[in-house]
Amino acid sequence: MEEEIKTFKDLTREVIEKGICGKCGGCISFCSAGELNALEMGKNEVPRYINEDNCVKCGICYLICPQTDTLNVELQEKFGWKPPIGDYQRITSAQTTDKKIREICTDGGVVTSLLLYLLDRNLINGAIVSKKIGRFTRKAIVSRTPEELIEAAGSTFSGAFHLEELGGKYTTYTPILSTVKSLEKGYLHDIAVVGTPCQINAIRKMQCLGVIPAHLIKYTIGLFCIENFSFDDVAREMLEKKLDINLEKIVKLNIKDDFIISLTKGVTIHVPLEEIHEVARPACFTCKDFSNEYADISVGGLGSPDGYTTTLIRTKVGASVYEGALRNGYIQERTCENTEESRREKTKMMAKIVSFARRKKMRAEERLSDLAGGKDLGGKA
Amino acid sequence: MVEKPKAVLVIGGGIAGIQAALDLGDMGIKVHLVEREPSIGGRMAQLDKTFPTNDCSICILSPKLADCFRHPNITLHTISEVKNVTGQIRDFSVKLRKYARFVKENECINCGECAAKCPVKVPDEFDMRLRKREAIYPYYLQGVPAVMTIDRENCLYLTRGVCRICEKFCTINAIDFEQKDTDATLHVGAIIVATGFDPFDPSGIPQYGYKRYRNVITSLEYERLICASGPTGGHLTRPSDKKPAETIAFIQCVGSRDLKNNRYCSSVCCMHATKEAMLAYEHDPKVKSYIFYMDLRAAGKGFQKYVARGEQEYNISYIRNRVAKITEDRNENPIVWYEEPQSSKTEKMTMDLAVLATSLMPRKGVEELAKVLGVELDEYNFFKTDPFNPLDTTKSGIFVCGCCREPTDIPESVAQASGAAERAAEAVMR
Amino acid sequence: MNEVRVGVFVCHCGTNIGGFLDVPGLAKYALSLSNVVFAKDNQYTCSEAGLTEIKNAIDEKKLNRVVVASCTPRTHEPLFRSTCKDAGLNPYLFQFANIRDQCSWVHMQDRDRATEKAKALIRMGVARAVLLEPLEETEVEVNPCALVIGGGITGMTCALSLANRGFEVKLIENEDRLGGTLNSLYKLYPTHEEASRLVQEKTKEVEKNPKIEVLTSSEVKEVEGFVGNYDVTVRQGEKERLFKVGVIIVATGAETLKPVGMYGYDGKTFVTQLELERMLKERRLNADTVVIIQCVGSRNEKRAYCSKVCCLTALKNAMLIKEANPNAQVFVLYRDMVTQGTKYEDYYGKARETGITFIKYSPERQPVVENKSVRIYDELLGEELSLPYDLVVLSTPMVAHNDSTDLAQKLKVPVDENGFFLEAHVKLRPVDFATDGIYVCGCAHWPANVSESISQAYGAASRASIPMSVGHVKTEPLIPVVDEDECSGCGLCELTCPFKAIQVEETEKGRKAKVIAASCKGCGACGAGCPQRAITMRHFTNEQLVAQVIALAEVTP
Repeated sequence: MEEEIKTFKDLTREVIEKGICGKCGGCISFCSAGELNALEMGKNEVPRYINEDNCVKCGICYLICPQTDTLNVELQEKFGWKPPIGDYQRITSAQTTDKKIREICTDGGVVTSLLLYLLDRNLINGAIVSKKIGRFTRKAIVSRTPEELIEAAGSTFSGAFHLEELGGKYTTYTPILSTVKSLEKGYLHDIAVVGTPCQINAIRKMQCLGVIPAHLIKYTIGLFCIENFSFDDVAREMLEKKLDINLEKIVKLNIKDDFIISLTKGVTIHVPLEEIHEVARPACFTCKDFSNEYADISVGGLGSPDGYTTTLIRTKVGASVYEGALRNGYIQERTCENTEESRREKTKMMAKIVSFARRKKMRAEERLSDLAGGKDLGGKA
Repeated sequence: MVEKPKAVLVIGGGIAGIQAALDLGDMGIKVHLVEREPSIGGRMAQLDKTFPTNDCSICILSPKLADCFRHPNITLHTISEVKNVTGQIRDFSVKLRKYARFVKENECINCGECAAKCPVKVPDEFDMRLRKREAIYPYYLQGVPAVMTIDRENCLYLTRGVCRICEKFCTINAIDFEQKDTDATLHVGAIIVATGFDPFDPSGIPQYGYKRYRNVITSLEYERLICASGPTGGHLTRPSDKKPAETIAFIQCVGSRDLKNNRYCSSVCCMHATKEAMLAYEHDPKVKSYIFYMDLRAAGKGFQKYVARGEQEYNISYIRNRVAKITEDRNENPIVWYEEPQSSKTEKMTMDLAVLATSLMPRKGVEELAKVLGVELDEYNFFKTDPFNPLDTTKSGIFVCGCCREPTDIPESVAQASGAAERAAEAVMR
Repeated sequence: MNEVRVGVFVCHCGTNIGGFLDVPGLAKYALSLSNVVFAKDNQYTCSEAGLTEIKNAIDEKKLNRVVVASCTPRTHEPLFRSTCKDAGLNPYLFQFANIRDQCSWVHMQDRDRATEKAKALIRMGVARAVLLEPLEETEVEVNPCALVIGGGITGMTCALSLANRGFEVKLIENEDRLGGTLNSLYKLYPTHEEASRLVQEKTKEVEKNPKIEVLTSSEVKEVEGFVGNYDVTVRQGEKERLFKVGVIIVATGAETLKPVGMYGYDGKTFVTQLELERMLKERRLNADTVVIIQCVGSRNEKRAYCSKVCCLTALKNAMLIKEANPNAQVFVLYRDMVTQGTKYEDYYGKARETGITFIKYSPERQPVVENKSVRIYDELLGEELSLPYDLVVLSTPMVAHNDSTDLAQKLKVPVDENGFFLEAHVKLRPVDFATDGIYVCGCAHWPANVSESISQAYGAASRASIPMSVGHVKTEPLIPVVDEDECSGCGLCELTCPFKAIQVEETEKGRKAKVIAASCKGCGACGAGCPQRAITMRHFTNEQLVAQVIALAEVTP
């Protein structure tokens, strides 16, 4: 007897209603790429049926979802995953060589520089990044020119918003995957994607299955991610009261060891992560991946001094991009006095990453067992 | 009294196999034409134009495909393989395995609705992996039988039990996931082998930069690029930046006349390089081509004139030199390094595109087939023949023609195919 | 039902047509023409899907005329005709409009005007289609007997194969014995077995075979008739014999050019390869330094072809010289070394290992014989060398026999500019002639080595056996019809016809022209020349052609 395929109905039950949907958009991205058009992003920012009759019950959305326990073994085999944070070739600390980028980037501007290199060399003809369109609002765009790339540079934590504007609700998260579907029609055929672990995970699962639209994605740059935040009106008010700041004055946001708010007039406030958990997205607490274990290159500020990006080169593809960008002068590596110091620094960086990764994993395991025990996460953003 | 079987088995549905089958069929002899791929047509279907007339390849092939399909004496067995052969001349017993297509051949109308909805994308082999196809696909547009096929290794239902989207969009219920591989036994009096060739993989010659440099391609890849039904609609653009290629280098003897790879001469490359250069010029009169060769082999009928025309009217320069290596500049332009024949100095030329004339080689799986048939292969894995019994293999009743015997051009393959048909007819009509 | 219902199918032909003309627009235009009840465009009309569409349309729309606007009738007319036939429509109610070779391919730069031209071509096609009439093919029986002209290795192989198939064979040979060129050869490459052994083996088989009648010292005097029914008069000495055969195979081989006036050729110190072979065979070779020059009299303006076999012959003889006299110095002066494929490239390797010196020369700097040496500029060394010689061997090309054109005329088949017999299609029908029932193989077709000649011999045998196996052939009904009331018996048509297919005979009504359908090729020369306008060319009537002209002129741009 054939097993029943798990479909969107099961996704609704096991992920969305349990409150662990990360809104990565992977399910919708696939469904609309194939013009099956059964799903859309709903009003409360979780996927839902546009028209249940359109659903052909193919079961692929269930397989793609980063929150379902599917394809894990395959992913691990395909990427030679090793504990504790996946496979990697080496770790460095680097920064862009471009003055303009250095002014606006979050850490070292490595992501923007790598993408610029890929674009310049025709290795990609577009990149999906998120662009700031408001103080706390960002949207996912396809950058096709160096200018568009640079425009989009800058912290991804300083606010982001969903493609469909939803009034007063904002998040730091940019669901990029819905942007992927329309690319082929725009004659894009090789693109790079910058994303959070859940987004990259969804892409890798699509690539495991060999399905559209992931066949267009040639390079993945993954961001370190402890969690993302939702700045709705309530949250903003709470934060302003707690920290005694006016959020209007925010110039830049970042996360490394803690939450870093840079205000005008050069003021910087550090907030421990525990204190802002209440504005974090609940789904993030069930995610086990801090260092973006399946990306080609994983990056973040954690472990590097200001103005530098910690760069974890994972795959052969990632290595070729990084080496290329380095060789052609788009980025430069942080130098140390001698090899002994260099090794020490790298060990320190690694230790930080592993520590955060462990924390996030433990947090997720705890939260997931709570859920299994019947605790409700609320099923909302 | 045992009835002597009179049918003939032809293994391979390329131009040679097709011609042999048509001749035998026309003689009144029953033919089983077996083809491994989902359609017949072989390598000739992949070519754009063919020398020395520059006829459109598929245009002259498709009437023969249609003839095979509708011939009362020819039974087409596509997506099938010969698994076992016992017996002897005039009395062979052949076990044929037909792999499941998962599409009902008699129902499918090739409308393409299923492929439009299939979510899987895998590299397309017919288009030399230059584009992606779906998991349910037509092997090539003009293929015969004109039906879709499901690729069992990449179909999500067959590998993981999910999807089945194609089935849901097929309007005439032509998809059948319940299909099984089936075995059949054929009784034939003679067998003709016409399995054709595979191109040499130039990754085995690292100094030519294949796969490392995007604008270094093989001749079969070039054919697909310049072909109107290929991945770029016939526009010869560089893989790296899609800009038109205006200076092209054709590098001959890649993997042939080579002690490290294949010692033999691949026979047809001097001519097809000339043809390919001519086609580029026809598409764009700004094109300048350089053909780097060792010995120019244009001995067939009309071939020498063809080459002369190339030189005089199509802006082709022939440089007698084996290219030492290919490198690349910042803009991914291949740089061809060679020794200038007159001055003996090392020179280099920057090109927009470099085309490697890869040697013709025996097909993958040919050793297994030879074992099944009980025939010998020569030291290069081509089917062994005696020069003065050129169409007979080492086993009585089994004959051979075309490129699986030795690299050869279409006119000779067709003549050999008719010849093999005659040998087979002699065998079964005794 | 007398209503004429035309269906038009316009083909994209991938992008061959679709990329340059507005094909959907053409289909729409076709539908607007009178008598057209159905029109559509397809990607590849000749594909199975396209043909099925035609059949379905004939059935569903009750079409009684079909027009396909696509590529060329040369390759595709038989296919579409038989498709109509399969659907129950007389195949001669099919009309082809060539909008590819005659439109899209030659007007690639001007889409709009080209589309207008295509519209005209379709319009003309429809106008003619309306006036087409159903025609029936006739069948003629085929005599299961083959005539093979030429008793060399090629002719013998062909004859033996056909005899093994059960057919009667008449094998005619010009010389007084069988064997052809191989009688003059010593050893054969790449095995170095003796040519005479192979010849003797084949000759014995031929002579033993009860189905083969051999006539040596014979030649073809006259050929009449048509496929399946050829009447061939063969002269043997004083005698003449008439053979009735179904098919004819030309295997007359070729000869080697004698390099008169080149390099001081004298047949003694300057010899051809054939003369060298005889010297080797008879052990008469007395030379310590031999210079072999390739491409003598070929690959030049007069004979712009490569004779394929001379490089291998030179290698063979060079190796045999070395074998006979290991101390001999042998130089091979070549332009390109043509040793294609697996066996022959290996052979070249072997030759190099025996110590033969290979010198590449270019056509701009030919070897020069002076002062008892051959002066040659070595392209690879970049130096001029002077080679002393005891013997100079000149590799000359194979050329067509002097009388090949003569034979071609008797058979009514064409030859190419070099006198070699010209096949129907270089790729699709390499051993057939365009004239039905006649085939060609071996060096008569083009210089070939023994191995290739044998393959081709079998190939020609296969093709020739088809009409004989079936027992009958269909003849195209596109022949003239004589209106005997108008015919004055002047005989101009008989004089004009190249195929002897129309002859004036006595009838009750007087001398009238009579058509021999099976010999007729439908060329129309008789019809064009008849002063009484008594001849109508079926399928190409004046009405049909005039209708096309009117259709063309109807709409002025």
